[in-house]
Amino acid sequence: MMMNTKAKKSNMGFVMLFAVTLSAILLSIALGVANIAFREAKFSANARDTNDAFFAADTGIESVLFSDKNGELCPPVNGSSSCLYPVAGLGDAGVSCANVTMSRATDASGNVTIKVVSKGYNNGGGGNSCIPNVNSVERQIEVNY
Amino acid sequence: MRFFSKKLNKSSRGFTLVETLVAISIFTVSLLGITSVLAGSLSHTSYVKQKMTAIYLAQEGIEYMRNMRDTHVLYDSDSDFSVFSSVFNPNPPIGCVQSSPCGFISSPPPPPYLLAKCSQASGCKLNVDNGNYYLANPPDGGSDSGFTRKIWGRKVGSGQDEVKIFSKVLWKQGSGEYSVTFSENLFDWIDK
Repeated sequence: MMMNTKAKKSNMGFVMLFAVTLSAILLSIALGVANIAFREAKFSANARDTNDAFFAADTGIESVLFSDKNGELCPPVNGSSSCLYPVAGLGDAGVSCANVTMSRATDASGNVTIKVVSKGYNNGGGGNSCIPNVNSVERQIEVNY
Repeated sequence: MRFFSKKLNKSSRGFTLVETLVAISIFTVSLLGITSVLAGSLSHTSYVKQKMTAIYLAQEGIEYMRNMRDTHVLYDSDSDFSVFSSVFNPNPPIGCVQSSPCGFISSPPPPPYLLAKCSQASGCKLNVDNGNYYLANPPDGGSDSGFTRKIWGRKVGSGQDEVKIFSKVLWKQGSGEYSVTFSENLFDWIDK
């Protein structure tokens, strides 16, 4: 009689075990899929921000090259110079911006080399300044001539 | 003996109907939660897939316009920038403005720009054929991709040397309408 009770007791809790195991399996599948979806969402947001930043950098460098068509930007003092030109209000929403640095250097034989570096950001360009946010995406284009 | 019998009776007692119903409902609620997370994630995955395609299509729109500027303004010595920027005048021959945007066509019209006005203001429907996207009207083959692209621009200042171009791709999914827009300023920065 005693044994019978024991056997019955060990059989108890199967439904509970089954339910918990099934829930755990389904929960892990759901979390796995949710994790993939979350990463994809981040990836696609990043792809959009990358393009915004790149087009901002490209606009920045074109803008400075256009303004410098006649070589009037950033005149050299004692053979060299370095100037920062913020280009703001870019992109569809008008919040992308670029910080363009133009530097001129003269070597020993008198040749002037110009280096233009444009750092584009997907946000932070309100008004006439370009101060990127902490989580901005940065893309850089460099031109030497 | 009486005590023993009572004990045995208790241990072999099964679930009552109410207990079973409560257990099943708790289990069902937890399963429903998990299932909704799963379903939401799966639909989100297909949204992201569409969005990535839309991002590439919008990027292609901007690069296509840049290529037109480079080919017809910077490379071709006969053409000048004001001809390019006149594309964004509100009046014909082309007139790509926000309220009546343009799309790219594969056969050249009279001006050198491969642009034509969309048949509707919401944008040009795109057909997909073997991974390539074409305008649905005029038909260049393929079947409806679900994407609509609009290209427009506006002159900055007098438009003699700067235009701001926009490329927007729209698509419908489920009950929502989504879009991706990119923009870039193009300059006439080459001395002729």
